[in-house]
Amino acid sequence: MDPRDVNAVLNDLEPAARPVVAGYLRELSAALPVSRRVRAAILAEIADGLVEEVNATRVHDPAAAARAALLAFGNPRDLAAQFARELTGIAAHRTGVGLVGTGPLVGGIWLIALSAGGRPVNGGQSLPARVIGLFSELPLIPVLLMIVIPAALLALAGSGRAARIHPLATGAAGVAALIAAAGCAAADVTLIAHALHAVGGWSTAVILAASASAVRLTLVAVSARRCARLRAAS
Amino acid sequence: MRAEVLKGHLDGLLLSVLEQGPIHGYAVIESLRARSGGAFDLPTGTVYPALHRLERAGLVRGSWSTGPGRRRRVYELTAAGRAALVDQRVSWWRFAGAVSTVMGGGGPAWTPAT
Repeated sequence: MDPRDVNAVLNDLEPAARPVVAGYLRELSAALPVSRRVRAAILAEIADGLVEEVNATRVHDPAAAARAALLAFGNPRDLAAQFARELTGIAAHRTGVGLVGTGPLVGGIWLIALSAGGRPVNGGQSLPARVIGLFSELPLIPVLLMIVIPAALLALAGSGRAARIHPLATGAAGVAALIAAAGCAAADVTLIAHALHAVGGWSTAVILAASASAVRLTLVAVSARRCARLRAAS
Repeated sequence: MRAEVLKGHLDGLLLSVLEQGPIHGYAVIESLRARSGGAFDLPTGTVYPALHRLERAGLVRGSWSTGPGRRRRVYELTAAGRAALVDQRVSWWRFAGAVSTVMGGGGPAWTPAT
């Protein structure tokens, strides 16, 4: 049996109790802004608990037993909000991991691209000089980095080991993730726009850097959307 | 006992229940009811997101059971969860001892472990 097959779980109930429990699960499902896989796992787990609760209820009428079990479980919308709160922390953590992990790589590719392709970045060839040169050409980038880096690190505390060391409310981690994502998107757009307008011609390195930014922009947009939807539902 | 009263202690209670060994979500609920003599009156569904919270923090590990019958999500303590349970117990005895002292109930007074 597939652990996520809710219908198979409900088959362990008396027929009269099934529609009552199924209605509760439908309401819970509708209030969960998560992927199909996560939703199925949550519904299977709750369905299992509900079946146990119904069977443990000492009420003769199956439908009445189901209603009593639902009462004990609480409002499905409240339950969905509690799940959404927990999942916000996980989504924030993943966004933070993605940004912290890809930041140095994408930044490095851009640094190489803007030095090697088209017009070289001011400031000579040493790495610090290249970074300073890039920052002086694009002063918005260091400002965005000062926002994105701390926000991404805060988002990491939404889950896992970081959450144990520096506990942070999942809502706050979600906000941090959204700020980091927005800042990162702004930085990528700035770099791509700079490559389009200021750098003469698209070298292979610039195309590679722009592609890396485009991929990251897509992933960040997906991650931020998930985070925002969960946060709104919590 | 209402859910709001339990709110700050639910994680410790769940960790304590899971100390017995791996169990599924509903068994956690049953154990909480049985061990509290039915005193804990919180919506049953609340326990599941709380278990997910503990899993998110790496204090418990959840997995789908593979045995015969209905497959269930089973939770067990991690090493970090065991350490957190020790911390929560110490914190609770300190708190309970201090409250008892102030209220004059003559309840448990915290003594450091030897």
